[in-house]
Amino acid sequence: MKRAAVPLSRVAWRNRRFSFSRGGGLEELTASIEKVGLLDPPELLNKGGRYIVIRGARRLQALRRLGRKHVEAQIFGEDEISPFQAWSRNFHENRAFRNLNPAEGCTALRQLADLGLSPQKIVSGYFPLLGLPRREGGFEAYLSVAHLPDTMLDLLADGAITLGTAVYLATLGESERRSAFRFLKKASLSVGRQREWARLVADISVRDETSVPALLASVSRAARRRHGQFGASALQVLRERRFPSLAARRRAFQRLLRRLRLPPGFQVTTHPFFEKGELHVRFSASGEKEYGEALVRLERLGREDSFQLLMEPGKRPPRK
Amino acid sequence: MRFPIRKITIHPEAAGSSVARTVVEKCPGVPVVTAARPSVDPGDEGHSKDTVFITPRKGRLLKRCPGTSSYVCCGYRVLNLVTGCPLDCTYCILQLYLNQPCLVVHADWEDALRELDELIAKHPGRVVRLGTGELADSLALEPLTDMARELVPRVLRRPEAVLELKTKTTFVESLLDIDPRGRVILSWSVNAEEVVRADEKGAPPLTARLRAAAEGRRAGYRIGLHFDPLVRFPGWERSYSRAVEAIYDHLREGDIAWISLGSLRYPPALDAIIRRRFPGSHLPLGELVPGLDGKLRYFRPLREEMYRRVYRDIRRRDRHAEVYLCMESPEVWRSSLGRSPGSTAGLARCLDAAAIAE
Repeated sequence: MKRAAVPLSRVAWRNRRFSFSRGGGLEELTASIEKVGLLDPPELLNKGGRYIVIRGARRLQALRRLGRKHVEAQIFGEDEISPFQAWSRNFHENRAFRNLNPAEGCTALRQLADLGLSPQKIVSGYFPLLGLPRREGGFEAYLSVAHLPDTMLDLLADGAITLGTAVYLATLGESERRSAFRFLKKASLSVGRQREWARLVADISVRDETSVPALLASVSRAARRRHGQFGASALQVLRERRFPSLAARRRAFQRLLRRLRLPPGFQVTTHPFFEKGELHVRFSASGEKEYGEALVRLERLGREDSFQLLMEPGKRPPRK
Repeated sequence: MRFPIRKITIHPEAAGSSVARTVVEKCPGVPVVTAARPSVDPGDEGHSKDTVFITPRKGRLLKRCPGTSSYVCCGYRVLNLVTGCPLDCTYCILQLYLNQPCLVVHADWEDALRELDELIAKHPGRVVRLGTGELADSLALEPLTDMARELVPRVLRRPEAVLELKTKTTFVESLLDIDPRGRVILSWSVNAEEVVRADEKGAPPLTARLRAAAEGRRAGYRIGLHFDPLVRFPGWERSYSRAVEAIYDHLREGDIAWISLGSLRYPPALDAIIRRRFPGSHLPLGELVPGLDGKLRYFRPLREEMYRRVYRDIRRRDRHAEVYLCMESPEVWRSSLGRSPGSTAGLARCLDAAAIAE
């Protein structure tokens, strides 16, 4: 290993064999280097005059942002360090100071696989270090996330999309993934809603044997016809398509409620999934007189066909 | 014919048991280890379906069937002589419930008979319906253990007891030379062929089960059938009609003590397991919503539709079999079958009567 000044133009930026850093915080690092200089030189592997980053990828990016042309770095020759040693230096140094974000974790797992480690060794040896459950089933999914395009990995690193969403996107073909990603960006769903979105889209497309782009295009059209924020409407459309009988029953219930023209202060609810044929009627009254009137109204309400039908909205009203 | 067993571990305290001797004798060439814990190769989800662990029991073997809150249950008692199952059904609740990594055989299972005697003494004159099919398939390990063959005569010595052996297998041979005296019910879990093929990995086809049922009936056993879980899929109506037809191609009206109907249901935690272990399965894609007990089940009108349809098909062929719903509310009973037992106690009374009414 020797210390030397290396032109930044000779750094193999796209070669992510050992480095996995991704995500925000680059501004702070850039500002720090500008103020006090580079305190810890990056480590590079000299491969025939091109330099592969072992450690310090973010520092190098910061230098590039600052318009520097050279970097003072520690240089390893290929005969001085094995690929696994190089990877380990970066991984363990990073782990000592911070938790890796999901995009970095998945990339690190892919690098280990590329280095020839068996899935069993990776699962037992590295999953715990990354805070992942020691289950081989997840391995392939994480590996596939590491192959997502940079734009998606950057969003994963920044927490704008969840690991579950990334896993789902990774299961899709390229054109499906592009359309899902476009939809997600447009819907700007919260992290919590993304999980539901991915599950709904996956389930409906498999059940109905519909392609994801076709499904999302039709959901988008339906959502645009509704009032309110696009993401919330789109999610509601997806829920209704996933649970069509439940949605129909809910619509029928609402129709009957409207038909009842409930007096002010009256509220009728039922089990959210209609599992129990019970209605809960709430009314508010202040004073004895109002209370008496409410009871009279309630008694009248109970005799209405629509009220009876609320319990069984699938049935037709009896003829009078 | 039996499920393949590749390893037997015997707990030191179970080494002299008769069941250990039987299992070892019936598995020549299978490696046997004596150890306090089963040695299991890390397999699918850490479970091994080809490793048997013979061990002394922990806790009581005879328990009340846990059923589920808020719904009417059949109220039978469960004898947990074996836990774990060599079959691999997509919807199996054991994937979630069991934390043992292999098939566990309780060596001192005869202690359960003492527990049974205590129960009978506590409720004199009452029928005690019990079964071994809650945490295991009652007959899946029979070719290895002969446990049902040992259990049946002992239960028959107790006139109050009625034993139900629930299975998906065809392993009835060991029982055919025993006179069940009308108090042993051989039961089969039955389903539409599409469900058998897609979601009951390792289980025999429906017709094979029904042939075994007919054999059991010829030997004097009464038959129970459990359409559980009923699954919705395109064309389910015709498929279940065909399954009912197949039943009565093999059995006659009067052969069957009871038929239960239960729709697909499982705790939400099983959903992730099914999706992980059976990625191609359509079961989680059904219109499953949380029920009163928190389990996912088909939206109520869809369940009622299935019950009504299958009940109608059964009643066209059989006016006598006691048909009941498994884990449903009195409201669903009424709208599906036009009647309700009202409560678990009510259903238990009906089934007690059906159990002794040959």
